[in-house]
Formats: sequence, structure tokens, C-alpha cells
Amino acid sequence: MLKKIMSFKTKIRIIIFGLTILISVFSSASLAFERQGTLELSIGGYSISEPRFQEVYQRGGMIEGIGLSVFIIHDIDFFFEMKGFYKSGELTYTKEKTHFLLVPISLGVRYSRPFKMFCPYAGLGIDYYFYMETNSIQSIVNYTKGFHIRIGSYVQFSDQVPVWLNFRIKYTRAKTEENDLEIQLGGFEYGLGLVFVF
Amino acid sequence: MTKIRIILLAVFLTWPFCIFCGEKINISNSPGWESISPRITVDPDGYIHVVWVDKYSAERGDVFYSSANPDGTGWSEPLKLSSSGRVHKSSCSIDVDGSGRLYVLWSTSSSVRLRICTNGKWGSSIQLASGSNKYWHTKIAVSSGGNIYTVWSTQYGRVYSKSKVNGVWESAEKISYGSKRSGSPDIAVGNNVVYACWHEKVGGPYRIMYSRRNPGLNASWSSRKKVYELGTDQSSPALEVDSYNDPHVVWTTYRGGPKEVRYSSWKGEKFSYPKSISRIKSIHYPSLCERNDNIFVCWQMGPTGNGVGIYYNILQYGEWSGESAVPQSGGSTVGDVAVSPDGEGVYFVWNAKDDIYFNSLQGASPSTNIPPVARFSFSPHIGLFPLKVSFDASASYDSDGTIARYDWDFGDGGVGSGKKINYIYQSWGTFPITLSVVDDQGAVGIEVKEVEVLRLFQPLNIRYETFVDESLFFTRYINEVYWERNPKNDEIAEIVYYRIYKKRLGEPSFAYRCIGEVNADVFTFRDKDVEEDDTYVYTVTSVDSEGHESPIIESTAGALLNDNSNKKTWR
Repeated sequence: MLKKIMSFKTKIRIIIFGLTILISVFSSASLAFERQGTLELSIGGYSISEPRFQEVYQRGGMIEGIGLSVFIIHDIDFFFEMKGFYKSGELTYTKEKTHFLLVPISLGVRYSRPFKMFCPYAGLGIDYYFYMETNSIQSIVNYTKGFHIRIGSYVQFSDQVPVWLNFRIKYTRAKTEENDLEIQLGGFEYGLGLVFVF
Repeated sequence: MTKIRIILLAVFLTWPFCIFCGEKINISNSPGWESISPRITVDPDGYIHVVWVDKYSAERGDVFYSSANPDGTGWSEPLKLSSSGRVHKSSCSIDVDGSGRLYVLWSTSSSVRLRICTNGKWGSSIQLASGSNKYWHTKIAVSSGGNIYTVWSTQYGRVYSKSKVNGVWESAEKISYGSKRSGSPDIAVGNNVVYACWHEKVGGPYRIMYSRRNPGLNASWSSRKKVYELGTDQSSPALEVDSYNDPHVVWTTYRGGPKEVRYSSWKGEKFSYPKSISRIKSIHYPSLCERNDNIFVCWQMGPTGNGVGIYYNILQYGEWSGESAVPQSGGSTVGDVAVSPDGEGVYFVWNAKDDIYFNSLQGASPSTNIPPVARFSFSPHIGLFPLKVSFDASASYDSDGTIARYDWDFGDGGVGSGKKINYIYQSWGTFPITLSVVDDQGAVGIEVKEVEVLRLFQPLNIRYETFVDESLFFTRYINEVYWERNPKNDEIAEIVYYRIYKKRLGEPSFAYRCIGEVNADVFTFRDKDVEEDDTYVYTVTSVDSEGHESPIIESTAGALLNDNSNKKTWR
């Protein structure tokens, strides 16, 4: 199952790459219009603060995803994003392999304020954390809910170029309970996004 | 006196020609109940008296009585002597005084009771002791003048005696030591001495102890002493006193498993070195009778409940006659022996197949029957258990007839019948194999050989530690079992793998279940099927290339770690 998901991720990457090309062309053509939203491809680091996670999977890892935002009133936009976070590790005693996949889906609102070439923002939202762990002890697929806050800034290099960069920091709380264990799947995320404005 | 000696000499000279009278006689005939623990005595007129217990359940029964003519015929209908239905299964005893009065003693779960028969009329039962104790193994000895001496043991391992001398009952007196494990007492009275003996455990093995007293009223028992220390367990003593006031004692003794009967008598100032008067076999419940200073001993051979038979040996003028079998006594558990006043008749009773049987040995005209000769071969003579051994008794013969029956006792509790037979030894040890052949006249021939059944040994120093194994969402416990090679196996077989067993702490040994196997060069096993709240006991067996497996033995070097002392938890 995990292999299927990994190949699915690869396909997603290819699709996103294609979309990037198309959106760049489309964005250039629509610069004359007032911006209505963004499409963002992001990459970054994600660190789950749960000590048990550190013990099994050592440390955080790369998180990748795609986001979509829509401006509803001036300086305020709604956003939706979906990401993927995968780690493999070892059971604490037997050192047998264990695999962990986390798919956070976030919905939220942001307030941004353009300032020269920067457009800093702050936002908050709710999260659905879909997770899966497989190992020789057992396998599990489940989800939990959480919330997050985020801050960051867009960097706009030119009014003529509909592509921005997004530097962001996000902190999530998403606690779940399995087998009488309370596990905190949230943590700090930091990263960079390539933003296509339309 | 001279006349008596002449008679005794005549008896002695004709003894080798003594024969059994014939078929055994069922004297209990109680189809509804299991009849057990028979005791026999002969009154001064030669009439034979037998008591036994009809067992209704494990702890319930009644005492029954029957009598017969001196020639062993005319047995009376069984008469119930007790009425409580609570008689202990091994508790009845009988004796007779010089006037022919009968005395029957028994115990129930809460009392010791006596009943006396005078001129054929039974009196009501007399209570000698009562209380919350369970009373076992009551024995009675009566002097020719009618003084009564009794002993019994209790569930708490104490031996008591109570006597009636010159018509006055004495108080019950504890004659064993402290609260140690004592039991199976017997008592005998001579002309001017009373002896009691019992087995007792005060550190070390069980030993036969004795004490004695003057037969007079309120005489004290002497301090207890060992009959003879042999360093092995001694149990189930039987006691008689001869006309010289010298005691004679027999008992069974262990010798690494099988038992034998040992005999000792008073010589000078102490008991003589115990003489072995039986083969080394599985022996139970010896019984002893003294008549005219000759000693008659019988015992049961074979497993309890299904013995090979009742065997006997007779000491006359310092010579033992040699071990012989009472015909048709197969299936026996307990036997007893008594002798007629003139010494001519030797009477045996035993229980078998839920009934009480009787047979007698009479000095009679010389028998022309020559006993059969038992001969057998078997293969293999040595091997690892489970060991299948083939036995062949074709070499047995009877020079003046035919062999009617081949009975085998394999020495480990197993028995069988037939000229050729296979048997599988399921345990290890050196086992005496006894072939008993019976000819068409009922005479018995016996041969005994030994088979050595070996075993593999478990590895040494078996132990385990508990570890915690975790993923993000799951926790499990891992027990790592360790052991070391046992060099004792090097001379026996090549170990090819180890088999790992486990059970929960507190479960019986048969609860062990195999959880895995590893090659012989691996000395650890990881058990992942561990419940957090359970504590386990592990053991490991050695297995050779032919599938022989070492037995699981607790409390031996290299066997089990059956507590938590080395259990550690690691994360």
C-alpha cells in the first residue's frame, strides 16, 4: 500500500510540474486583471514535536504540497493546502523497519499587507491529519483534527512577473490517541513556496 | 518344648513341599463398592478372621468382617462393623487375644474406634479418640491376656498410642517427634514388652523409628530411636515381637526409584543391619506375621492398584525361604499374612479388582509339579527415551507342563502380558524388567533383568529478559530467552536444535507449549508474543537428530528460571 502511495506522489509531482508551466503562461496573460488568488507549490521541513516520534523516526523530514488561495476582500484570502510527509524508521528494540505517512489538509484564512516588494501575512486555520503507520507490530490508517497558525511573507520581484516566492513558518497542534497513547502529530513547519498569481 | 521343636523341625523339613491349596477365594463379594486394605488374623482355635474397608468414596467407607474355618472354607457373609460410613480407607486393623476375643480398630475422619467380639457376639464400638484431626493407619496389638495397645497417625504427621491395661484405659500419648512428618505406625506386644514403629522425616530421608514400653499400666514409652539408618527413604513399616520379646521389623526402602523390602530384628542391644528380602522392584505395603518365632513377610509388587502380585518370604530358623508369589494375586494393592497356631497354614489376603481375596499355603503332601523357568531376551538394552523395547519370553519353559501365562512388569509402572511384547519407555532411568511365568499348575517362575533408558539434558542457565519495542503508535513486549550449552549431552547424542517452551507463571508443567526452535549453535530466542500483564516461565529442551528430546525438569541445574529474579525490563 505504501509503495502505491509513493508512486502516487511521484505522479503528483509530474502533474504539478506541468501545471506550473501552464499557470505561468496563463498568469502572464492575465496580469492586466486584478489578482484573484494564488496557486502555490511548496517544499519545506516538518518536525513533529512528539518525543516518541523522535525515538522511532529520529527527526523531521521534507514536506511537500500544493496550496490554493482565493482573495475574498482586500488583503484577506482563504486558502486550502494539501501536503505529504513520509518517514521510515526503526522499532526501538528490534530495529525492524517501520513506515509513517502523514497527509495534512489545511483550510484557513490569512491577512496580508503589501509593503514594497514584500507582502507579509499572518493566518490561522484548521487541519485534517490523515496518517498511516505500518510495521511488524501492527498497521493503522486514521485521521485526527487540529489547528494551526502561520506567518510568512510573499516576495514580489516585479509587477510584470506573476510568480512570487513565499517564505513561511507554520505551527500546528494535532493530537491523536491510539492504543491509550496520546500522540502529538503537530509541530513546526518552515518552507518556501513558488506562488503563481492569477 | 521338645515336642514343639520336633513339630517345628518337621514343618521346616516339609516346607519346600508346601503348596497353595487351590483357587483364590473372593471373600468380600461386594459388587457395589471397592473393597480395600484387608487385614487378617487367626484365633487360637485356628479360625481365620478378616476385616477390610468397603470404600464408598475417597474419604468414606465402612469396615466389614468375615471369618472362615481353619482350612479356609466356609467364609461367612460380610458383616458391617462400622455404621458411620466415614471410615478411612487405610485404617482397619484386627487382632485376637488368647481367649479368642477379636479386636477390630478403625478410624474415621474424626475419631478412632474399637469393637470387640466375645464368643461370637460383637459389642458396641468404643471411641478411643476424637477431634478435628483426620485419623489414619490405626493398628492394634492385643496380648494373650487381653491388654490392648493401639497406635494411629494423624493428618498432621503425628503418631499417637493408647492402651488398655488390666481393664483401665490410659490416656492417648504422642510418641512421634514434635510436629514432624510421621505416619504408617505399627505396634506389637510380646510377653513383657510393647514395641511401636513408624516412619518419620526429621531432615534427610524418611526413617523407621521405634519406641518401646513395659506392657504394664501407665508405663512410659521410651524416647524414639532409628531402627537402622541407611541413608535412603524408608516407609510403611510392619512390626512383630517374638516369644523372646525381640522385635522384627520390615519396611520398604527406595533405591533411586524402585523399592525393596528390608528386614531387621533385635540383636543384642540394637537392630541388625537391614537385610534385603525382596528383589529391587516397585514394592508396596509389606506385612509381617510372627508365629513360633518364625517370620512370615508378604508385600505387594508392582504399581499401586494393579500389582504383579502378592509376594512372600519366610524366615525359619535363621534361613529365608526365598521370594515366592501367591498365585492368582495379580492386580493386587495391599496384602496381609497370618499363620495358623500350629504353623502349618499360611494365609494371605489381598485386595484386587475391587474385592478381597484369600489363598492359603498348607504343609501337605509333596507336590510333583516343578515350577516353570522364566527366561527372556530384549532389545535394545540401552537407549534414549522414548525407547521402544521388544521383549521375547520364548526361551521360558516348564519341564513338566506348559506355561499358561506370561506377565511382564516393565519397572516403570507399566505391565503387560504375552510371550512377545513391545513396550515404550516414556521416562528415563534403570528399570528392572520382571517376567513372571505361571504354569498350568499355578506355580510361578520369575526372571529379572534391567534396561537402561537414557535421556538428553536441557541446556544450562536458562533465563530471560523483557524489553519494550515501540513504534509511534504501538508498543509490544519482547522476551529474550538465553541459555548455554550443556556438555552432559556430548557423550549421549549430537544436539541439532533447541526447542523453546513457555507457560504463564503459576500454570502447571503440562501447560508448557512450544513456541519455537533454533539451531544448536544459537543460544537465544526472541519471544514477541508477550502480554504486558503476564509473567512467563520459559524452558528449553535439547533435541537430537533422531528426534529425542530432553525432558522438562524443574528444579535441576540447567532447567528453569521459574521466578522473576532475573526478569528485567529495558526500553
